[in-house]
Amino acid sequence: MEKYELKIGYFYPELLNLYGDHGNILVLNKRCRWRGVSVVVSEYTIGSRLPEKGSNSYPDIVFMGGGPDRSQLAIVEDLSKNKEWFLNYALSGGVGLFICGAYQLLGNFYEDADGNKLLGVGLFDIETRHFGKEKPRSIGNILVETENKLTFSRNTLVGFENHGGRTYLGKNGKPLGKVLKGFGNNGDDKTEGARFNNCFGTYLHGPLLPKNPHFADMLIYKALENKYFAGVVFSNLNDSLEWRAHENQVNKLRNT
Amino acid sequence: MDIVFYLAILVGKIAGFLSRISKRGAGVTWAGYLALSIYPNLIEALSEKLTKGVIIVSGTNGKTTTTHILKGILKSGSIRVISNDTGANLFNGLAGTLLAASSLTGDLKGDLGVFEVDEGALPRVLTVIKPSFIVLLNLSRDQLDRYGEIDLTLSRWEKSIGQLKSYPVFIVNRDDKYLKRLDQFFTDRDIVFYNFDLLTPVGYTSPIEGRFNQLNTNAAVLTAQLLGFSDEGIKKGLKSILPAFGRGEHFDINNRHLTILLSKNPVSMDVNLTFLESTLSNAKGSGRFAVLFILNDNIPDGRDISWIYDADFEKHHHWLLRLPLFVSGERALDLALRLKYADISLPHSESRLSTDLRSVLTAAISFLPKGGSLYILSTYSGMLEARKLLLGKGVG
Repeated sequence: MEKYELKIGYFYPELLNLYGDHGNILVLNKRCRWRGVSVVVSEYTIGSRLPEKGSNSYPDIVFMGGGPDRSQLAIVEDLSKNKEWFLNYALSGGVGLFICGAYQLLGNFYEDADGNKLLGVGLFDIETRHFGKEKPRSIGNILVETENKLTFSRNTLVGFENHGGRTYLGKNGKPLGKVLKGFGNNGDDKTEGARFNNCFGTYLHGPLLPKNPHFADMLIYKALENKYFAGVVFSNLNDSLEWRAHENQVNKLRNT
Repeated sequence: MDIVFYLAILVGKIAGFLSRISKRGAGVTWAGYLALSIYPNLIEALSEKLTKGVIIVSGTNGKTTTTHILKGILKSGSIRVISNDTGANLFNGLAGTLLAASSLTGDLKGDLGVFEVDEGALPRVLTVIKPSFIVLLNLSRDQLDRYGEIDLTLSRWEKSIGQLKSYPVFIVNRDDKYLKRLDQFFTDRDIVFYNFDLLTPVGYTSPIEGRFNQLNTNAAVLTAQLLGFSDEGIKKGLKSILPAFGRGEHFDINNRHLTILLSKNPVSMDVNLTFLESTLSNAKGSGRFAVLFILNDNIPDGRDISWIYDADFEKHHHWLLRLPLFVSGERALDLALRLKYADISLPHSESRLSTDLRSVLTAAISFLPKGGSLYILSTYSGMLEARKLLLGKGVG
C-alpha cells in the first residue's frame, strides 16, 4: 500500500501565532495521521531560504497565521523578497491557508490609519484599510456560507473574528464565502475572506479548522490530489464531536 | 464637598442594596457606574481620603491571589484595609468598592486601599488614583478580544507611567519578559524587583500551593516589607491566609473535596495542570481524583476561546489520560474537541460532557468515592456559577 506523506510549510510561527492559529497545524497534522498520512511540518521565518519547486522539501500545504501589528511589520520585507515564490506556489495550484494578518499581507496592500501603505504579495486581489478610530474593530463570532461544493459536506464555516483592518475585493477577487452573521471582510458587502486557486485567506480564528473539519479535509484532499493525482483513497473520520461543536455555534449564531 | 457628591453616594448605596437583595450578582460594579454618572470624580474624591494611601496590583495572572495575600498580612497588622473583591477590578468596580466602604457622609471605613486593577483598565485608573505603590505581576495573553495584543497594553502602560505626576514605588516581577520592556520608563522612578528566588531563602512560604503562588507571595511580602512590616509580622499574616475566592478555594460536599482553580488563559491553565500533576504524584493511588473543566465565553471570560489552542494540554497528556475527566460550560464542546486533538479522549455521555453545569457537577461529585477529590478548572464566569451551585444559594 502506498504511503502518503504531506509536507506543511508553516511560515513565521514565532511571529504570527497570536490567536491559537497554530491549532490549525495541529488539526491538519492529526487529521492526516488518523488517516495514515504522515506529515512533516517545516518552519520558515525571516531570512529562511524557501525550497525550490520540484525539490523534496517543497510544501504541499502552506500555512500562515495572525499576529500583532508589530509582527506584521517585521515580516513585510521578508514577504516581498519571496513574492515570486508565493505567486508561483499559488499559480501552480499549491494549497494554502492564510489567516487574518497573513491574509491581509498576501493581498495587494495594507493601508494603516495614517495612510502608510504596506505592499503585499498580491496573491489575493484584495486591499485592506485600517480606519483608525473612525470605525470600530470587527470582533465577534462569525458564521459564513461558502459556495456549494467547496467542501465535502455542509457549506457553513464558524469562527471568531477580531480585526481592525477592512478588506475589499478587487475585480478579480473571489470571496471565500458570504457572511450570514458577523462582519467579514469589511462589514458592508457581506463577503468574507478570499480565494485564489487552492489558496484561501480568511479572518476566521477559532482557530478555523477544529470546528470546520470539512474545510480541513478539503485542504488535505486537494494537497493529496495535487501530489498523488488520481486514486487517492480518503477515508472518513468520526467527526461527531466536531459537528456537534460546529452545529452548536451555527444554532447560536442563527438565533441571535 | 458639594451636594452632588452626597447624592452620588446615596444613589450608589441604594443601587448596591437593591442588587444585593435581588441577588443579581455583584452589584458593586453597577452601583459604581451609577454613582460615577452623577459624580464623575468619585474615585478621586474618595480615594484621597485614605490616610495610608493606595496600593495597586495589576497584571494578567495572580492579581486576586496577590491582593488577597497582601490584605491578609496587612489585616493581621491591624491596618484597616479597603479592597475590591472579585470581579470589581475595572473602573466602575473600583468606584463601587469605594462607595461600599463609605458612609453616607463620605467617610471611609478604612485607611489603606489595596486594589487589584485589570491590566486594560490600569491607565484610566491611574488618572484618578494616586497610588503609593504599584505592583506589576506579569503580562501574558488573556482575553484577546478585549485587548488585541500585549504590545497594545504595554504601550498604554508606558504612556500612562510616563504621565504619572505622583511618584509611586513600583514593585515589579523581574522574571517576566514583557515587563522587562518597561525598564526604560522606570529610570527616574523608585522601583524594586522581586522574582521567584528572592525571598524564599528567608522562608516566606506561600500560604497557597503552587510555584506561581510563591511568586505572588513574594510580591505581597516585598510590598509589606516596604510598608515597614517586620519579618515576624509578615509570617504571622501569612499564616492567617486561606485561598481566595475561586482561586484554590476548597469546598466539602458529601465528603468529597472540591477545589476550584481559575483557568482562564494558557498560563493559568498550565500552572494549574502542573500543580495538579504534582498533587497527584504526591498522593497515594489516583483512583480518587477527577477533573472538571468549565469553559465559558462570556465577557469576563473572554469571548475568543482560541486560547485553549495556546494552552499546552499535550504536555500533560500522560497523566490526564489516566484521570476521569468531565467537561462543561457553554463552550464545553470546544474544550472536548481540544482534548481530542491532544489525544485525550472523553466519553461523550451527557454526564461527562454537557453544557449543563449542574448535571455534570453532580455527576462528577457522585462519581467519586467518599473522600475523593474533584479539581475544577474553570474560566471566570464558570467559576462563579460553580460556586453558586456549591454554596447552594445566590451570589452574595
